[in-house]
Amino acid sequence: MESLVELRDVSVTFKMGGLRKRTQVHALSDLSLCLFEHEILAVVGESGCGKSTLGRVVLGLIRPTSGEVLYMDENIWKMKWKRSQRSHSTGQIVHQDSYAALNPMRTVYQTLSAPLIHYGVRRGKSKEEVCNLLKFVGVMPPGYFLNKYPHHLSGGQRQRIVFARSIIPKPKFIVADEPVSMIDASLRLSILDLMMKLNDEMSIAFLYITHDLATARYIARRGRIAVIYLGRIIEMGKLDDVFQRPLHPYFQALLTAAPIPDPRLARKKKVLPLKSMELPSAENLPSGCSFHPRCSYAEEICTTERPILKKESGDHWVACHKVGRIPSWNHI
Amino acid sequence: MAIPIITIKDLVVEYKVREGAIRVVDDVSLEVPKGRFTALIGESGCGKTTIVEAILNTLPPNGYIRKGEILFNGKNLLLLKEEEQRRFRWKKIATVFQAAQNSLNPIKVIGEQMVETILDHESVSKKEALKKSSNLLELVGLEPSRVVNSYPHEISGGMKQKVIIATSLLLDPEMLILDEPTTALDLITQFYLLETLGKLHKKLGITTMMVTHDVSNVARHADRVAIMYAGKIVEVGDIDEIFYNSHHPYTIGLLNSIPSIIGDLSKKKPIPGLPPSLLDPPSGCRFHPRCSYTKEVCKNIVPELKSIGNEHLTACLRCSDITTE
Ligand SMILES: Nc1ncnc2c1ncn2[C@@H]1O[C@H](COP(=O)(O)OP(=O)(O)OP(=O)(O)O)[C@@H](O)[C@H]1O
Ligand SMILES: Nc1ncnc2c1ncn2[C@@H]1O[C@H](COP(=O)(O)OP(=O)(O)OP(=O)(O)O)[C@@H](O)[C@H]1O
Ligand SMILES: [Mg+2]
Ligand SMILES: [Mg+2]
Repeated sequence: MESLVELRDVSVTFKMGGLRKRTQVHALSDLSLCLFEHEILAVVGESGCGKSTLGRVVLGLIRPTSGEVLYMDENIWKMKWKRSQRSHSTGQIVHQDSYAALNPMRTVYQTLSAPLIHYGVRRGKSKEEVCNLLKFVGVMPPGYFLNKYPHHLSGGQRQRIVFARSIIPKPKFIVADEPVSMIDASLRLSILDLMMKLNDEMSIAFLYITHDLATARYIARRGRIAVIYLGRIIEMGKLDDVFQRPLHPYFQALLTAAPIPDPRLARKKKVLPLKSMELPSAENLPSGCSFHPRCSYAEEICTTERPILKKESGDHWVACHKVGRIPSWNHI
Repeated sequence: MAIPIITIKDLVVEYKVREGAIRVVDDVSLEVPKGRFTALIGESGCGKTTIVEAILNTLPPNGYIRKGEILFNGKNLLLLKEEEQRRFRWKKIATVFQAAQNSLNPIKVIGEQMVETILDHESVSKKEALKKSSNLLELVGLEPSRVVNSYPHEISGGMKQKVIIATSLLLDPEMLILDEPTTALDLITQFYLLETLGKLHKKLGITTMMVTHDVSNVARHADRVAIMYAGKIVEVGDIDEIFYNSHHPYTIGLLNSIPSIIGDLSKKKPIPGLPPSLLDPPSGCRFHPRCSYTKEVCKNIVPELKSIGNEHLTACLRCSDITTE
């Protein structure tokens, strides 16, 4: 598989505060990652761990403090392209808030016809094309929705319109940042199905960002997953392998904490291998392994030396000193 | 069956809107059994919060109860005087709403806020009030010594939500109602918060009712479940009955549409179509346009909630043909 976007040792630091008390937030630290053509890569982690920052770096919207970002093997921050060209024809973004993403003064037809015409559809054909697009993303019947405004639509319908708009430039990949977290649990599946259809039929790669492990597993079942903790990847691999045999104590804790919609399984005894529920601040990262203050298995070395992401088997990568020496995790 | 602490009978709640009145809760009857953990589940906009607000008499100005009764320990709440209702709300039923974290006073330390709440309602000494506050903070899994002297901005969102729960227990309520208490919380925080609720329910025996759109949140702790669709309760039963022996196509579809971290994904599929508008709900069974079992009768007759044994009630004309498998 060809790599579409590659991050090499990317760090992003935000400077905060006024003159006297300046602090730095380490949103991403030495993170390396590939997004391959046509794949679905899920990125999971707790709030503030750097998922959205990663998405913005992948899209070329944030320039890393250090490290390289390559699009098809070219360093984008050294290319002479115009920024708009770079981000539109290659990557698109879809956020969680579909309401904010759409202009409230524009009808569905106006929202979709403008970019269609910009990308070469003749004016006379624009209505037909908008209808085709609506059908493709499952907003039916298309004719009924052409003249609707965003506030006439449900959250799920709005998110479909946002996806429709995002595929007009025929992007190679879409960064979907929590696209279903504002959508009702019962309607999430259909939006995830839509993304899988875009992936399948249009060969669009997806970087699916979420804090919800169940939707990550659903959408990336044939793809990969990267688990982020305080700006670093701590476990990565084929989704199936990582869910079958989670190796990092943090990911094991996340899996144990994840609610299961099946009472008999959900009621089983659960103990999180955690010493504390508090996430340390990104301004003041712990020494050594940044997970050590919360980890039940931490030893001396974990407090002093940072574990690197190492290949455990096949395509399964883990950053933990104690990998293999902690209890294996069972799906109950 | 346990004695009901709350009995809702034929409740109809409407909101006045430009287009007329929308009936958001339509002929709902529900018993909330004492000492148990009941979950009220349904899609966004189906009327869950409205039911809670009707129980608490906190409907927004354009909302009103058109018909029905709400009994608390057998006493009709709707017949109480305004003043009595308010007292009732504080003393008997405690509530925790979504994003309640923001309801803490930002300029007072947590301990002070809690002590004031007690002193406003009970004649005890400040020392006793502080003792009680500390005990409750400990009960919800917080370190009283640290939290009592903290301002709200000094503690995390999950800790704030626990403080709110501890505060809601200050006046020894008989019942705790939580409306989406975990939205906007991280996975791990959410887990500990739900554990806390489960533990409180077991330890104190407090009747708990939790409202949510995501069944995953309640599968571990709830023991009774009511499923709501478009202003109506469509199925009620003990949790295992609802999950493993449902006789309502909406419940089955809903459970099938929720992804999980374990189990077979290939059987998961969305419910076709969209929830209806409450301004103009479908005739007959409101689920009929989305239901694969629909027959002609479903379009004409409104199904009633009927017992099918095992304290399991379902509102489907074709329930005898419908099973989980
Ligand atoms: N523009 C910014 N200026 C300063 N700090 C920032 C900025 N953007 C993000 N951060 C900080 O960087 C860290 C990572 O933020 P990011 O938004 O990437 O996290 P996230 O994983 O997407 O979180 P969430 O799940 O809450 O969306 C956080 O500590 C955040 O406060
Ligand atoms: N003050 C109001 N005026 C008019 N309509 C209202 C008002 N409050 C709620 N509604 C409508 O009543 C219906 C039920 O609302 P309610 O808040 O009870 O739903 P819910 O099940 O709690 O939804 P959610 O899961 O989104 O919280 C919705 O269609 C909503 O739009
Ligand atoms: Mg984010
Ligand atoms: Mg609500």
